[in-house]
Amino acid sequence: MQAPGDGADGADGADGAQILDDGAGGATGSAGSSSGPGNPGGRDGTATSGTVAGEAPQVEGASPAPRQGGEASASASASGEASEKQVLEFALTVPFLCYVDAELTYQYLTSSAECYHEAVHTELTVIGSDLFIRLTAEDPVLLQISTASLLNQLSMVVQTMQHLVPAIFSRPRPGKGG
Amino acid sequence: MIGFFLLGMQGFLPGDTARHHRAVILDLLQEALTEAGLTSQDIDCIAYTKGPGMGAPLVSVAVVARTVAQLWNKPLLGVNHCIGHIEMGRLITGATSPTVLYVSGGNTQVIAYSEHRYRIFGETIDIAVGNCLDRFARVLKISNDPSPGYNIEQMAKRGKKLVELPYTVKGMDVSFSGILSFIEDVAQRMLATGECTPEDLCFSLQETVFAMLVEITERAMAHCGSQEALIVGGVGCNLRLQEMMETMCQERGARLFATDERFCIDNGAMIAQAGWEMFRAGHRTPLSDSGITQRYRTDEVEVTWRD
Repeated sequence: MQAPGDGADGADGADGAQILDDGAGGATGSAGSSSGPGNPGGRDGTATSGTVAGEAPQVEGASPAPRQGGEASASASASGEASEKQVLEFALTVPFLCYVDAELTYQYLTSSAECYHEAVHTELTVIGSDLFIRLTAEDPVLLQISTASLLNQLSMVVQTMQHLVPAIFSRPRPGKGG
Repeated sequence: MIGFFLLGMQGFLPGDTARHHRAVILDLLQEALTEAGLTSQDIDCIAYTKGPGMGAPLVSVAVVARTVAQLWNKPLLGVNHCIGHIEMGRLITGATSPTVLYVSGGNTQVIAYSEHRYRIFGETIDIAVGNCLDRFARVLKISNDPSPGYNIEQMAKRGKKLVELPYTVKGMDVSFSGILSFIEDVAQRMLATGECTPEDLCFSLQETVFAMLVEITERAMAHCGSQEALIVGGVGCNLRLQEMMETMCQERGARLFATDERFCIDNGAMIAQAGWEMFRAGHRTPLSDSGITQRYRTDEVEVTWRD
């Protein structure tokens, strides 16, 4: 299974949703939209760490278009109707195959606050085996940089899990996500 | 050091360095385990560089360290890079309580241990001495292969004329930005007029900056009453620096400790060594505190593994 592709670093910037290339599974998300899944009301507190017990997370390239059931919409900034202080958003849903994998990734990303600019608001939530990620900011450049940083880290977490638990990831997976 | 060659005359760029680390780290981890004949069950703890350094590369490695620690259920230890150098130097040389001259491309500090802290007695107030040397190498278009500092050292051996350069010591601290600016301004003119050769400039720069470092180290040794000096960091490989430090130590009746390029230059083993000391002393880095710190001061760490 191929891990999400490498994204840009630092000031290079990137379209966060499109950094993810064909990989292990599916993820929904959009970049630059003014609305997203919001807080689905799932648990987002601290959880105990666990080992990988389930199957591989599946992350696939995210389409910039809204997915079925998704709440993301086209960027309001492109509509010309934006208010002066428009909040831009990057939202991503990463469907893992078990709660433990999602929780492990969640714990890692929540402890990486130093990687996100203070002007970028980050929300991470685990519901079931899905990890919801939402970044919002008024500055598109900062949002882009933080998104790239987060996706790089997400990529490395997934690659590390794949690398260290190969037996689990080599099992065929039922179609999920996408 | 692969990235150093590929980056040509630019030095290390955070983004490119981070991409390199991400591309190789997992294979490197597996290779290390295989070569050592170990499995995850044989590992006691996971040590990683918490700082100081460039943010993106530090994060690239911290990601893996944290994930591995969770997957293997092992304690995590965030290590100060500077202390890694010191602990490796102490281990390899056997120095007991030296005054440490830590010189590299990113750091220049004079350090001595006191009451559970590695105290910084003196440091650069602007750029590190290695950074000064590297940027001077770019001015003269000196090759990066194997490293600009090494090539400067070899050229300096053929230098015959000492060119007077700004010597800047401010109490216990040093400054290298002025000498770099000066030499960037005058180098091409002096070479064009035949006033000196590139080898003369290399020789003069080394003699000047190293003399500054020897001065502040000696001042710290006098203050602490220290009879040992230890050189660590990549610039510590420089034999001329070691020679000048040895002369100073002999004049003081002190002993100089230094290592070779295997242990002077940044390496993972030094992080493991410092991490091991921390682990045995009971240190643990909780996940909530396992971020990286680009400006992680040497004296921020409580050195509980020493008396």
